[in-house]
Parts: sequence; structure tokens; C-alpha cells
Amino acid sequence: MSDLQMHNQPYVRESMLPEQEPPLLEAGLTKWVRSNLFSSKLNIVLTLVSIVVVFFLLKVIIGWMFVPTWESSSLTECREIFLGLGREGHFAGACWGIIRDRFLQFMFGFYPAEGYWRILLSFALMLLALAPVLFNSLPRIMLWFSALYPFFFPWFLWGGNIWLPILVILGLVLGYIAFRIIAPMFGVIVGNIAAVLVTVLWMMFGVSNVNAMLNTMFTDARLETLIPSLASDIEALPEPIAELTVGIDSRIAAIADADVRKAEIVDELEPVAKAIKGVEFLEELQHDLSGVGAFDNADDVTELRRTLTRTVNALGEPQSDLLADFKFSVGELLTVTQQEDVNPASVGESFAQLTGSLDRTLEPLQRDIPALLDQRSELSDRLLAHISETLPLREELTVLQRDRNRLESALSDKTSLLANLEKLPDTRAERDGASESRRQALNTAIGETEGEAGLVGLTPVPSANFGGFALSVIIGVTCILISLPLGILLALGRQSNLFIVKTICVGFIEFIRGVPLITLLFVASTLLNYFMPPGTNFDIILRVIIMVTLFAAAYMAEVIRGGLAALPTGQYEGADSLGLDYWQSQRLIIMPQALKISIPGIVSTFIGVFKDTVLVSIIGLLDPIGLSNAVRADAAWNGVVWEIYAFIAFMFFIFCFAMSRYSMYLERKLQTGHR
Amino acid sequence: MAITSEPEQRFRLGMLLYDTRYRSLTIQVIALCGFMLGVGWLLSNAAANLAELGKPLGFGFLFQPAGYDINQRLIEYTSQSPHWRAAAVGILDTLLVAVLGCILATILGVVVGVLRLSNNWIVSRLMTVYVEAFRNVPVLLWIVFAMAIFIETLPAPKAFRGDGATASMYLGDSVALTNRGWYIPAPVFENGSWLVVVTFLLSLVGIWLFGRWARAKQDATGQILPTFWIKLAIFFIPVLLVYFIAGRPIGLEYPELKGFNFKGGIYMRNSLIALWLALSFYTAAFIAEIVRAGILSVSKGQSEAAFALGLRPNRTMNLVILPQALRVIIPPLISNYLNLTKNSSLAIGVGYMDVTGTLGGITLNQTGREMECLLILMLIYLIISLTISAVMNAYNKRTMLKER
Repeated sequence: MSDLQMHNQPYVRESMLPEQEPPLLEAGLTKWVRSNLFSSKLNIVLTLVSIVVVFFLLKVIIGWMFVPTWESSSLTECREIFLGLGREGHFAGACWGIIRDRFLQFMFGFYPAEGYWRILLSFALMLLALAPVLFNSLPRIMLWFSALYPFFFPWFLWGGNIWLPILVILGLVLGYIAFRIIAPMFGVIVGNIAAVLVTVLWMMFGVSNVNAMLNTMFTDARLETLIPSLASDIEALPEPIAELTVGIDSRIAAIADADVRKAEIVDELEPVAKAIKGVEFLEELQHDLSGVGAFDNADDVTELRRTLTRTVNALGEPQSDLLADFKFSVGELLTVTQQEDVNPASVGESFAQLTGSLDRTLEPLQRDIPALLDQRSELSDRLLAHISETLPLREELTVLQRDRNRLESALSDKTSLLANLEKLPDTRAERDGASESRRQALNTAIGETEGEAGLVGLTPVPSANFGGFALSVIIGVTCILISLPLGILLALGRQSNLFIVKTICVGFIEFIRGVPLITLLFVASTLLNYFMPPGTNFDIILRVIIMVTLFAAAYMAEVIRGGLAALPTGQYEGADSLGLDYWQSQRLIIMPQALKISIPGIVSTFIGVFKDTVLVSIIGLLDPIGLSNAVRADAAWNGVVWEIYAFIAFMFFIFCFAMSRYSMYLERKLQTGHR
Repeated sequence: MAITSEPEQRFRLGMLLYDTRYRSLTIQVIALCGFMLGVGWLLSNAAANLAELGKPLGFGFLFQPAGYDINQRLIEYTSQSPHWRAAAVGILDTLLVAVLGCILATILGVVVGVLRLSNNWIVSRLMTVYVEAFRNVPVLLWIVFAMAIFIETLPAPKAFRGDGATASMYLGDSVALTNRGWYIPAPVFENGSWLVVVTFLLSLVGIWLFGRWARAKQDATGQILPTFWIKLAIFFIPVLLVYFIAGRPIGLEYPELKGFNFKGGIYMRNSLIALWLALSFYTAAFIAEIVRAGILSVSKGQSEAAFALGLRPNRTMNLVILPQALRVIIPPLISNYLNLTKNSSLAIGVGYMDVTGTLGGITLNQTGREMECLLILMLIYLIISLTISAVMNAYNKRTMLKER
């Protein structure tokens, strides 16, 4: 049977075919392109449109971005560089000199230059303090540093006495001691109340008094040595200031000298660039006119008239005879086209004359073009070389001026301090016998002098000097760090079954989330002082931080509430069944899981708050956007727009994008559940 | 059998702290007292401070003439109008930009979100770049950036004039984009235009009635009508017929260059356009992510099951995928509308006169009534927000998954 079948069949394959390459269209790049770019009609259209869009965007952006203006020192210089490159108009190029010139300002605002290390160090230490919180593998002892650092962070930035943070920490320690003493005697709750009471009293009365006492002590101890050293400093200072002035004057003279030489180059460059532009214009005109045919249509004539008017305007004063001839024939044709009833034939005749004249004019000019282009690029190179040669001079000048300003302010500070110190014994004697109101004024004066003379710590920096990205980071980071515990409390309050607590929390959260941040910032700038006891006037950055913290806390509470809601009820029940009380179960069971679930939300809240810090520019703080107005007020950079915005946007993008990627990474890393 | 009754327990003061039945009450009373004390302290401070400054709380200033002009307004307003009217102009401006922004942001967001899921490599990458670029840069920066673009790159009105004009109007000389703002044609309602409007409204009612009838018929007989085309016809045909029969009563007034500026048509200031576009593009990036997540959230099994039942692709989309995706999309979408509305308060950065600019800006500075102005301002935003979230909650309730 089987044999029969075998023989009946005409052909049976006896060996396997070797594997073959897939068809060319179904493999490699071709397949990828076919399936990813051209899989259907709609896709083909989309692909082509996208390619065109990308091409034009890149063309504009790259052409704008990549220009050698990094070393320029004013907008005028940028324009001169563009002249040498034969570019003009809105998209001529970016004037990156402003970023080089003002980079430090965009980073640190008007913070004194000798204090930059303080900002950098405080941020670095902050990362160090955050590290044990973020990474469990680090030694637990570092958590002590994390706990103590928040008290020293503002001290690094704002300066002042080292006593202040230490005294504040001491307040907490005192509270703890009070708890340990009272709690065994009267119970935990009374102990807690006593601890809070002691801490609050210490903060309200102890800190400032002990601080003043320490100041007085140090002032008295130093008085003997300080006065002579101040006097000798004051005598010594004018000399280096005079030296610096000489240096500054010589640099200014040198720069003025260099500017004269640069003006010579630009003077040479201008006619060359103009000539090239003129030829380009004529070539364009030739191209425009070459398509024009018969003139039996009124619209054609109108169009021609417009072109001619533009040409006449553009030609201005002709530089050569040929150009003058050409301008004359343009004018003739223009008068023909302006007549009431235009005769197509006469237009055509004049038009032919005009194109002939144009060709004749262009031909010799075009012959000069290569030479002109060479000349332009040579001059442009010279200009760039010159600019980069004078750059060190300008940088030296900036440094010298900065040093002189510092010395001058030091001189005036020391002079006034010396005067105050010399008066100090008299003032103290007067205070002891003065009336109540006079005594207060004298006390303030003495306090200021002693604060300056008895300073053990960092030079104070006023809030008005804070700015730039440093300010954004300070506000953003501080607010998020404070808002996290606040948000947890609010979320717990909102989830709790205590009606009044819940109502207060819901009311607060919904109120804050219902109004825009800018109104809260208005409250910070105009209203917050009203809610304090009469006479208090506290710092604007602190006020902003308070309001932004409340804002962030409301959003944080919602994020954490989401995390709490996502936990299965079994976790709560399990905690209860283990006999844990409310706070124990929150601390040990609920929060670790809820916070882990909320990490993406927390990070995106952080990104949102960090982005929202630019709003402080509206109430007059000098964050990057606020600074951009200050920078543009400088005569050298008046008119620069895009570069600043592009730079700020780029910096924010880097920060925020990196953070969002980090949160995605964290989310994956912490993903322990199985789905 | 003796019934052991609970021993009579006398109430002791300590039970307030240690008995769970009373402790919550104690905590609440303490919290309430603390809260009241805190609020009372703040309020008494505020009252003392305001008394010291000689401006006790009062809203009489709202009825004094405002004394400043508002350049973009929807209702009649002069500098002699009272402050409350300035605030009303501001509220309408806020709502105007919010509504315009929500519409554009939704359209853009849906398109971008869908395109981001496209299997076209270049398109999806391009959309990713768009989304990341807009999400990671502050919206205030986008607003001032858009404003700078319009001021710096658009031609001045004088560039449109004369033979040597370097700029021209678009769409058949009906739209002019200048650095002072955009001029678009304004509709002019002549006699008889009410006929067209009434017809339009009637045809809307007709569409609704037809939809009900068609659904009832489908439920009864199973016959499916081509509802989309019929509705489209009801939408357009009667209105166009009446429009031409009544002699084209609704015309357009085109902007024209007169003197130094354009006259006629609708004038939209740069600040409005910049704010509108920047807010829309920014919010659209977020909406795109929501739409993408919503579509991805519908598991593949759903569409496969629908195909297995024999539903065609478009009906699968309409009846199976969309209803489920929308349940995921709508709540965050509405909270993004809320964000857009709140972000519109950044108008103050470009000088657009929304309610923050009028009431919280000029009125506040002129009258010095910080407390009252900010109170009203917050209240207005709160009302808008709570309205929107009430809508959201109602929707959530309606579409909540009925779990068994």
C-alpha cells in the first residue's frame, strides 16, 4: 500500500530545504522602516510631515544656537559678530555672551562672591544628610547628622552667630530632659505637655536672651584687641583700594583702546557686508523678476509695482554708476506702472530694459563676490580673535571692581563699627539710667554693635541678596522637606474618624488646593505680617517659604492619602490584631508601605513645587525669571530675550527631567509586590 | 441563670484620657480649642494691626470708581466704573481664557496622547519630546516666552501699510497678526439673524430627539441607523437653508488698516493669545499623558473579547474601549482643567487683566485693601474650583465601577 502510494506520486522531496534569508523587504532596516514609518497611508503622511517639521525646527534652532558669541561682552558685539557672519534679523543667532557674563548671577543672585562656597557647601551637606534617608545601606549613625543638619542649613545661608542653631537644638534637648523628669512622676501626657511648654518658653525667651548675653561676653572679651585692629585695618585699607583703582583705570583704558581697534575692524567690515547683502538682494530680485511674463493682468502690475517700490527703497544712495543707471531704469518702470491706465506693451518694453540693466549691473558685482566673501570671513576672524583677546581684560576688570567694592564696603563697615565700639561704654552707661522707651532704642543699638563685634560664625547675608537658581532650590527643597511631615499629618487627619479633626484637615486641604499659588504668595508678600503680633516684621523669604510649604503640604497630603487608600484593609486589621496602638501601627505598618506607594506622587509634587518657585518673581524676589529683568536692565544687554529664557528653561528641564527619571527608577526598584 | 449586668461604672476624670470611649472626644475638644485659639490669635492680631493702620475691614471701596482702564474686556467698563465691576471684568477674562484654554488643551492633548501611542517611530518620538519639554519647564516661563515671541517676531501694524508692505494678512485679508495683537473678523448680526439662531437651536434639539428615537428603535427592533450622518445633516442643512433663504443675515466685519492701527473685527491682545497658547500647550502635555495612560489601562483582552463577539473595530472602540478608558481619563482630565484655571492667574506676568490682575493687582494697590481684596480673590477661585470638583465628583459617582 505504502509502496504503491510512493510510486503513484510524481515527486516526493527527500531532503529538507536549507533555511533561506527572508525576503529583502522583510528584513533589517527596510522592514523596520516599512513597519515603523510607512505602514499605512496615514503613517506615510504623518512621517513625511514630521520629517519636514523636525527638519525646519532643527534648521532654525541649530542655526540659532551654534554661533561663536560665547566671548562677546555686549549685545552690540554680538551684532558685530553676526555682521561678519552675514546674518541678521530675529534668527541671526543667540548672544551667548550674556550667559557667560551673568552665569554666576543666575546661579547665586546677588549673594556676595566670597560666600558662594557657603551655598555650595550647604547643598552638598544637605545631600549628605538626605543620603541615609534615601539609601538604607548607609550606616545608621549618619541619621544623627540628618537630624541635626536642618538647624545648621539656614545658618550656612544667612550667616550670623553659630550660637543660634545650637541654642535652638538645646531647646529641644531641654524639652526632652523635661519629659524624662516629669513623665515618670505624672504620666506620659503631662510629660509631653511639660516638654512642649519648656521648649516653647525656651524658644520665646531663652534663645534671644542667651544669644545677646553671649554676644556681650564676646564683645567684652575682644574689645581690647578689636579696637586697635580695626583702627589699623581702617588705616591700611585705602592703600589697596587705591591700587585697585589704578588697576581698574588701566584696564578701562586698555579696553577703550581695544574698542577703538575693534571699531576700526567693524568699520572695514560694514561696507563689505553691505556690498554682499546688496548683491544678494539683486540676485533675489533677478530671480523674482525672471518668472514675470506678460502684463495684461492688473494684479501682475500691482505686484510688480510693489516689488519696484521695495527695490527703490532698498537701493537708497547708489554707490556706482551702474547702480545709479539701474536705479534710474527702475524708477522709469515704476512711473509707467503708476499711470492710470497701464499699457501692457509699454510696461513690457520698460521691463525688458530693466532686466537687461539688472543683468549688466549684476555681472561685474558677482565677479567681486568671492573676493568680498574672503574679505568678510578674514575680517570676521579678526573680529572674533580681537574679542577673545580682550575677554581676559574684561574679566580682570570685573574681578578688580568686585574686589574694590568689597574693600570699600569693608572700610565703611569697619569705620562705623569702630565708631560704635568707641561709644559703647558710654552708651551702656546711658542705658542704665535711661527712661523705658529710650532704653529700648539704646538696647537695639547696643545689640547691633555687639552682634557685629561679638560675632562667632559667618558674616550675615540679607535676604535681598538671595537669588537665582540657588533661591529656587532653597525654597523648593525646604518647602518639600517641611511639607512631607505636615502632609503626612494632614493625610492622617483626613483619614481619621475624629469628626472635628477630619473637618479641619479637609477644609484646609480643599482651601489650599482651590486657590492658585500666586494668591498665597500675595498673602505672603502683603498680608502675612498682619496676622502676627503688631510690630513684627519677618523676612520675605521666610514668609514665602511658609506659604509655599502650606501649599505643598496640601498637595502632599492628597498624594499620601492616595497611598493610604491603596493599602488593603488587611494591613490595618493585621496591625490592630497585633495589638499595636494607632501611632505604632502607623509608624511600623502603614506609613512605610503608604509612603513607598506614594513615591512617584511625592516626586512629581516636588517637581511641581520646584517649577512653581518661579512664581516668586511676581512678588519681586530675584529667582531666575526675576533676575532676567534685572540683567536686561543693564545697558550692555538691553534687548536680549531668547538666550535668557532658553537658558532658564534648559536648567529647569535638566533638574525636573532628571528627577522624574529618578522617581521612575525608584518606583521600579521599590516594586516588591507581584502584579 | 443570673444575668451578669455590666458593673455600674462611675465616671471618673481619668477616663477622659484612658478610656477609648471618651478619649476621641477629648482629643477632638482639645483640637477644636487649639484650632479656635490659633485662629482667634491670628484674627485678633489682624484686627489690631488693621486698626493701627487705620483701615478697618470693610467692603465699601468696591463701590468707588476704579479709575483705571482695562484693555481686554467682555462687558462694558470705563475707568469711572466701580471696583466691583473691574473685578467682574477680571472674572470674565479669567473664565474666557480658561474656557478657550480647556478646549484647545483637550484637542491638543488627545491628539498628542494618541499619536504618542502610534506605531510610527518618528511621530511617537516627536510627541515624547513635546510632552517632556513642556512638562519639565515652568508654565510662567512658557507664558513670558510666548509673549516675547509675539512681540519680537510679529510685524508692527505699519508693516502692513502701503506699496512696500513687508507683511500681509492671512486667509483672504481677514486675519492680521501684529505685534500688538491679533485681529480676526467679527460676526455682524443683521435683521433676521434670529431666524438662523433659532433654527440652529431647534436643530440641536432635533439631533437630541433623533438620537433618543434611534436608540429606542435599536433597543426595540435591533435595527441600527447611520446616526452619525443623519445627525450631521440635521446639524448643517436646516441652518444653511434658512441662512440663504433669509438673505444671509449674518455677515463678517473684517479688520482694516486705518491710520496707525487696525480697526474693526475682534481684537485679541497679545497677552491673551500668549497666555491662551502657553497654558494650552503646557496643559496639553499633561492631558496627553492622561489620555495615553487611559488607553493603555484598557487591557488587550477587552478588545479581543469584543472582536470575538463579532463587533467591528469602530463599534469596539465606541462601546468597549472608550467607556472604560474614559472612566480613567475624565477625573484627572478635570483636575487638569482646574489646574489650567488656577494657572491662568499667571496672566499677571504678561499684563492680561484677569481677576488676579484687576482685583488682586491694581485694585489692591490703589485702595491698599489687601485683606479684603485677597479674601474676595481667594473666594472667587475657591468657588470656581469647588464647582469644577463638584462636577468631577458627580461624574465619578455616575461612572463608578459597580462592584459586586
